[in-house]
Amino acid sequence: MNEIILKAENLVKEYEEGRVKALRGVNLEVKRGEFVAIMGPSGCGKSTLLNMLGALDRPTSGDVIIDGERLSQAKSLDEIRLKKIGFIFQAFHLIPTLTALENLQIPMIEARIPRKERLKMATELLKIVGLEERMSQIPPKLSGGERQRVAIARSLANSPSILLADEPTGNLDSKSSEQIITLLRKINKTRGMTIVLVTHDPNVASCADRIVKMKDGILYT
Amino acid sequence: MYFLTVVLKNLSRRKLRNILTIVGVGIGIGAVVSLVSITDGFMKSFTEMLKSRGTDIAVTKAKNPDVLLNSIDESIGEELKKIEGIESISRVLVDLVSIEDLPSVMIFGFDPDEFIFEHFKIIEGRKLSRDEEDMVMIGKILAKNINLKVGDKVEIEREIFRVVGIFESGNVVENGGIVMNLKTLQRLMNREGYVTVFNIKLKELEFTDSVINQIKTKFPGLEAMTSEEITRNNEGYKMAKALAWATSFIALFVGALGTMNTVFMSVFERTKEFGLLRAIGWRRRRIMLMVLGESIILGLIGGALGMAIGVIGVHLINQIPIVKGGIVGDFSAPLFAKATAIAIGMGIFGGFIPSSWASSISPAEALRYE
Repeated sequence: MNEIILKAENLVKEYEEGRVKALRGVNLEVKRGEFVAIMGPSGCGKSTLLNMLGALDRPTSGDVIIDGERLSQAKSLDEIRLKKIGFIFQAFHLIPTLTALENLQIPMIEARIPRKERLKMATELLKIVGLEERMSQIPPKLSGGERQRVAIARSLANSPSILLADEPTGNLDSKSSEQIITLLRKINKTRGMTIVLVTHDPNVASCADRIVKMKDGILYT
Repeated sequence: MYFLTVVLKNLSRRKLRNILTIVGVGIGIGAVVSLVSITDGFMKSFTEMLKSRGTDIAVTKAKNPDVLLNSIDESIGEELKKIEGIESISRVLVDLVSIEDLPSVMIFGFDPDEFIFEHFKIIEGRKLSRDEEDMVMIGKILAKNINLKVGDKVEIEREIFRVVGIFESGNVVENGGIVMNLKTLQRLMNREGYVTVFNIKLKELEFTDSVINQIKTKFPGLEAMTSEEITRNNEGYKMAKALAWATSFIALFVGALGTMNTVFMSVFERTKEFGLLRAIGWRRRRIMLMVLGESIILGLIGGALGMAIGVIGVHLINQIPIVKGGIVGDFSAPLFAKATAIAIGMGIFGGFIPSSWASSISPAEALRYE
């Protein structure tokens, strides 16, 4: 179980023609099944790093290897995001007009999973996050914690290799936060899911296997 | 859940805005359906009128848009009779005269023994006969307008004629005119030996093409057309049709711009959502398809509304006293097919640029967008 599933090689990301350096040479290795927390103050570049690790954006230089695929050589980042990455955001980002069950099927539609199978898988995932009774509710009818649980279920939709969570408890009260962290921990343990979580909250970070600190675009271990 | 479900549920947001857009599209499509159906309906009834006269083919002078200036040598009629497939021929001379206060009234010269004369229905008095050189029949509209009755005298080109009957012919042009013997009219207008049109009745309709071809080869200066062709080549009809489409085009363009505005606004509002969809793996093409789908559905619903507006609109116009059933809308399947195609076209026009924009935004930037 020492296989490296996610690797950042000397990642540099500059904005505005090099005037803003968000990442200044980041190196990171994450093993399969590992739960890593990246901690740092706001503006230190941790969201930018997560964007690079999640194939949302291409780095100025350096490379990312996700489950054996080099991003610099990948034909389509969409394909990698669809199949290998599960995203969880601070603001949940659910589609407000779709029910919990329908929101889960959004990534499955693009992966061309047949309709009946989509329905079955989505129901299954809602059970895992404990929301099977709320499956036909639309997000505005759900509490913050419930919404984030739907979002976590959605991130698991196409059985990704890695979950990337950007401040997943940032919009939640302490009780809901605790439940979300417990849920992530459970997914990590029972399914062996690799999780990389970004936070500025030491309490959240403390539940990870490993904490990496970040400051001014560089990682400290 | 289908992909279409996502598209439809997206339209359920901002209902009022979408309904207003649909109404905008509906007005455009409604304009097309009503105006075009009216011009088509006019053409249809004009054609039916020509057919009701029993005319299968009309022979006129070639390349002469104005029927009144037509003069064909009457003797050609005898030549035409020899063509196989022709049952009989009716000669007609048309001219304009002034009567009482009316500066120009259509006057028709017919031979009462020829087939075309049969289509006149007498309301009062009786039909004109071949030897009555000092008698005329007048159409019911003209009779009403200048208050003429059977037995009254009327002065035409400084000669006095007596009204022998008032007729109804099923078409506005003849109902507003005068009918007299062909010979009399030729003498009166100094057009002896000339006619305006030969109306041909065929033995069977299947002779149509061969007769037309023979006439055109034997008499290069003449034009032979079926009733449908006459209407289609009618300058007035062409103009009305062009005008109907031009007017509709403006309404359609405004409707399409309205659609584009709505789709653009809805796309801007959902920038973050597109970022999310791209982040979880949706390809650009799927985003484009979704937005374009929304826009096309707006167009289609607008189109359906427009067709209803068009049909009801024509019905309402007919309730106006001066029109009073004078308008017949020809609501044909091809017209509705065209309207549907235009509605889809408006959706594509309105949605293309916004959907391209939506699909081109970078997911990382869109998620940061506030």
